[in-house]
Parts: sequence; C-alpha cells; structure tokens
Amino acid sequence: MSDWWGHLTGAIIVVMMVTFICIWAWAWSGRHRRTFSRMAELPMDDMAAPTVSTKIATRKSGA
Amino acid sequence: MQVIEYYDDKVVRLFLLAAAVWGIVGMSVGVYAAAELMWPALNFDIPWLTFSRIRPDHTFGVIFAFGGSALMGTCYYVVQRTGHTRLALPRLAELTFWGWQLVCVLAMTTMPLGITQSKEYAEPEWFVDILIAVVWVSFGAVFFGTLARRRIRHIYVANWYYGAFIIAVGLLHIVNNIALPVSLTKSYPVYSGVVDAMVEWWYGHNAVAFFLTAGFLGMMYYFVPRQAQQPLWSYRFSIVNFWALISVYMWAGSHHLMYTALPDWVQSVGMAFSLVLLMPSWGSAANGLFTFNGSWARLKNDAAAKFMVMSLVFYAAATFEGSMMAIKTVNSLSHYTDWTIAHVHSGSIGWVAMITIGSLYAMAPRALGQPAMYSQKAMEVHFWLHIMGLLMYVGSMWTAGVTEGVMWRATNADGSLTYSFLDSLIAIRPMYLIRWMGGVLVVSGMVVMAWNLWHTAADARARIIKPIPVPIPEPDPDQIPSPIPAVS
Ligand code: HEM
Ligand code: HEM
Repeated sequence: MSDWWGHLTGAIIVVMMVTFICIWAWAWSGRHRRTFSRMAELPMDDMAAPTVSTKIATRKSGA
Repeated sequence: MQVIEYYDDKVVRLFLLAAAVWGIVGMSVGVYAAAELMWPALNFDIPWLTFSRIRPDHTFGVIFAFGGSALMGTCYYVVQRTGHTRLALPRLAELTFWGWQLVCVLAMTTMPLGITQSKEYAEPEWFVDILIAVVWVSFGAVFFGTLARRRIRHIYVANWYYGAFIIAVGLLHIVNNIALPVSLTKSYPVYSGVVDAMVEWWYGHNAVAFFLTAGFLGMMYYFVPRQAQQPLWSYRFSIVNFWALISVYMWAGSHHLMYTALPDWVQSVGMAFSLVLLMPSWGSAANGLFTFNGSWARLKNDAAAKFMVMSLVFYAAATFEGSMMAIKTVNSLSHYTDWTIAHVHSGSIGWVAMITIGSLYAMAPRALGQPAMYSQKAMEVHFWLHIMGLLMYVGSMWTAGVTEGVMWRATNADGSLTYSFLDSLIAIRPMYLIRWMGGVLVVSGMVVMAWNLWHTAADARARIIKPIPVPIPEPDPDQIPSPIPAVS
C-alpha cells in the first residue's frame, strides 16, 4: 500500500466518523424536538377509519 | 383563501389490485418450483416448464411484480398523506402503473421462453430493461414532484426511505444492465469475468438493500405507527438509522462472493460491513416494535397489527442470520445449501410479505372508501395460514441446509468424501415436501386476502366512493412543523 493511499483512506474514515457523529448531534438537538414529536404522530392523522372497528377512531387527532 | 384538493387514490387502488394478483401468481410459481424439486417429473420435459426457466419467474414475480406494485402503491399513498398534498403529475402516475404492469407481463412471459440475460434478479433482456428504466424515472418524477408540492416543511422519514429506494434502484438497474444488444432477444453485458460478478452482486445485494429493505422500511415507518395508533417510538433514532443503513449497505455486496476469484480483501470488506449492518437493521426493527408499546392489547383482534409485529420479528431474525452468514467460516458451510434459501424466505415471506400484507390491510379500507376490511375473520385466517406456512418453509430449509453443509464436508480417514451428492439429496427430500406444503399454505392465505379485498372493493368497483379531501390547515404562524405555502 503506498503512503498517499494510506493517508487518503485514513482521512476518509475520519470524515465518515465525524459525519456520523454530526448526524446524531443534528437528530438529537433540542431545536428539532417539537417538530419531531409532531412528525412522529403524523401517520395517525389518516386514521379516520381504522381497520378493526370504528370505535377506536375516537383517539384520532384532527388535522 | 381556501383551496379544496383531493387525494389521488385511483392509482393507489390499481396498484393494490395488482399486488394482490401478482402475489398469488408469483407465489404459485414458487410453489410449483418447490414441487419440481420434490417431484422432478413435474416438468414434463417441456422446456418452459423446467425449474431453471420458472425459478426466475418466481423471483421476478414476487420481488418486482408483487413487491414492486405494493411499494409503488403505498408510496403514492404515503407521500400524499405525509405532505398534505395530492399527487403531482397524476397522469404520469397512472402511466407508471400501466408501464410497470407491461414490464411484469413482458418479463414473466419472455423468461420461460429462454430469453434471458442470465443475471440473477436482472434476467429480463435489454428491451424490458429499457422499459423498466423509463417507468422508474417517471415513478421518481411523480414522487419527487409530489414532495416538492408538500405543505409540511419537514419530510417525514418514510419518504426518505422511499426516496432512497427510488434513487438507488434506478442507479443499480442502469449500471448492472449496460449491455450490447446483438438482436431483439439477445444482448451481452459489457462486463466480464470477476468484474461482471462483482457488478452483478453489487446490484443483487443492493436490490435486497434498497428494494427488499429500504422500500419496505418506508412502508413500515408509516403504517406501523398508524396501525398501532401510537407515535413512532423515536423519530430522531429513525433518522440516524436511515443514514447508517444506506451508507453501510452499499459495501456489503461481496459477501455473496466468498471464496471466489474476487480479491480476498474485497471479501473481507464485505464481511466487515455486513457485521456493522446489524446495528441499523435492528435499530429500525426495535423502533417499529417499541412503537407498539402501550398498544399490545390491539394485537388480540387486529390481524393487520399481528402481521406487522411478526414481520418486524422476522426482519430482526433475517438480518441477524445474514450478518452471521457473512462471516467467512459460517459462509463456507451455508453457501450453496438450502440455508441460503431459508434466509431468503425468512426475509421475504417473513419480513417483506408480512409487512406488505399488514400495510395493505391497513391501507385498503381507507383507499377503498370503507370503514374496515370486509371480513376480520378472513384476515385472522390469513395470518395463521401465513405464519404456519412460513414456519414450515423456514424450518425445513434450515434443517435441509445444515444437513447438506455437514454432509458435503464430511470426509473419511483417507480424505475421500463420506457422502455422494445423491446421498445428501435423498436425506433432505422430506424437507422439500414440508417446504412445498408450507408454500401451499402461504398461497392459500394470499387467495383469502384477494377474496377479502374483492369484497372490500365493492363500492370502488361500483364507482360510488368519495375522494378524500386533503387537510389544508388555516395559515397559522406558530404551526409545528412549519408549513410551506401551497403550490397550485
Ligand atoms: C409461497 C411461497 C413461496 C414458495 C413456495 C417459494 C419457493 C421458492 C423456491 C422453490 C425457490 C428456489 C430455491 C432453490 O433454488 O433451491 C425460491 C427462490 C427464491 N424465492 Fe421464493 N418462494 C415463496 C415466496 C417468496 C416470496 C414472497 C419472495 C420475495 C418477496 C421470494 C423470493 C425468492 C428469492 C429471492 C429466491 C432466490 C433465492 C436464491 O437465489 O438464493 N419467495 N422460492
Ligand atoms: C443485515 C442484513 C443482511 C445481511 C448481512 C445479509 C447477508 C446475506 C448473506 C451472507 C447471504 C449469503 C450469500 C451466499 O452465501 O451466497 C445472503 C443471501 C441473501 N439474502 Fe441476505 N442478508 C441480510 C438481510 C436480508 C434481508 C432483509 C433479505 C430480504 C428479504 C435478504 C435477502 C437475501 C437474498 C435474496 C439472498 C440470496 C441471494 C442469492 O444467492 O440469490 N437478506 N444474505
């Protein structure tokens, strides 16, 4: 393995690790908390008519 | 200013119908292939009925026709709901439906005639490949066009998976199928030798990654919280998992080529990435399962939720198994045996088929203008048929695989092989019978589902269902997440 190749792969690994940590930091940052908790509920907006029985629909969040 | 807009569910209904039909077709061909392995005379010496010709029909039928139709249908459904907007380019969307059906029919009729590129999961010849590329690009245009007109600024995570699925599959398909046609029915790939093998398995593996995994994870991230009636367990965790999954999967393809002419270090890279892959895989499985926390009681009488939970369990199981099989020493036992077939089907009948069926049961009533599926009992019957068939399939093929692996490597004191190949075939015959019976159960379940969907679709067939209006919120400066002004 030539020197420059070793340096290059090393640098790429560092860049990838830093990127990964940045993604965690981005996802966990308090700035997004409100948006994310609303997004986590988004699929339930569609549940006017669940598949089991119409009674369960009372929990539906109006959208 | 109040705009009235309706969700465009017609194309969703068409894909729903197609998925139900192709599911039965693709899996019936699988059952026939399984029967041929048990009773070889069933090919009747007719060329197009031989195992080699119908096997690709099974894989294309279940992956691209059944899975593809379900993915495109749910994708169109989800991208509208999670963006509070109707489909962009509705005519093109309908064209993708007819185009995709044409692709499936062409592929499934030409392959048994021997018109094939002989590349696994990419068998159809060049003229079908071009059509696939055109339909796929149109599919992408509709999807990203719809995202562009969304009314919610943050793009819901399911769409990230669908988007990755569309982009990656397009890229894989085009690169792997570059070929020089020499006639209408014959072409030669531009790659040769070990490069051809590596390109093929970069494609094949990422077909698993982006077609059979990322696409269906998109389905999972939308329909699981919807069916559980609980918010997604951890939204931020789903984002980390997304980036980890798509960046790791691309490098794992060489685990399909262990102990081949591929350079050793490339095999080791594949193995290392396959082991890391377990983490984002289990991350998504856990996120889905924990979403059911607090609504486990639902499972008692909600067959759709049962399908979803079991699909996640099998997703976790198949990915764990895959990571183990990628270890070179394990692979030296499992490769070429039915263990691979067991792994494939715990991923496909377990994860892929069950998340699809669960999502279709969740989506169908809404898309067909009904409060619920026509028969809850039939859903329950389907669940038990499917799970029994799955366990018979996977259990028998694990047993057969390990039996083969152990018998093939057994040697006598003088170094000669203890068993002939025929010995191993005779040893696993009972397992082939059980696999076939399991397949019959799974297909019967699919027929029950089709019957149930047919009745649920009564109003749709009579064209008396009302379109569902898009909820367009009153402008509210503090809305979370922030809205985007509607484009019209
Ligand atoms: C009724 C259920 C099914 C039956 C009876 C069945 C049967 C079979 C058989 C007999 C084979 C050939 C095995 C061999 O070469 O030894 C096969 C291969 C395969 N099947 Fe299925 N199958 C079923 C469902 C599915 C589903 C739902 C999917 C995907 C969504 C699927 C995906 C595949 C794939 C990818 C292969 C190729 C495996 C490989 O090359 O390693 N099958 N199936
Ligand atoms: C962490 C995730 C996974 C890893 C590391 C993994 C690893 C593997 C390995 C090592 C093989 C055997 C290759 C050989 O010996 O020929 C294999 C085969 C296969 N796996 Fe997986 N797997 C994973 C998940 C899945 C899932 C979820 C599915 C989906 C449905 C799936 C579908 C397949 C198919 C179709 C094959 C057979 C390919 C062929 O030979 O035709 N895998 N996988």
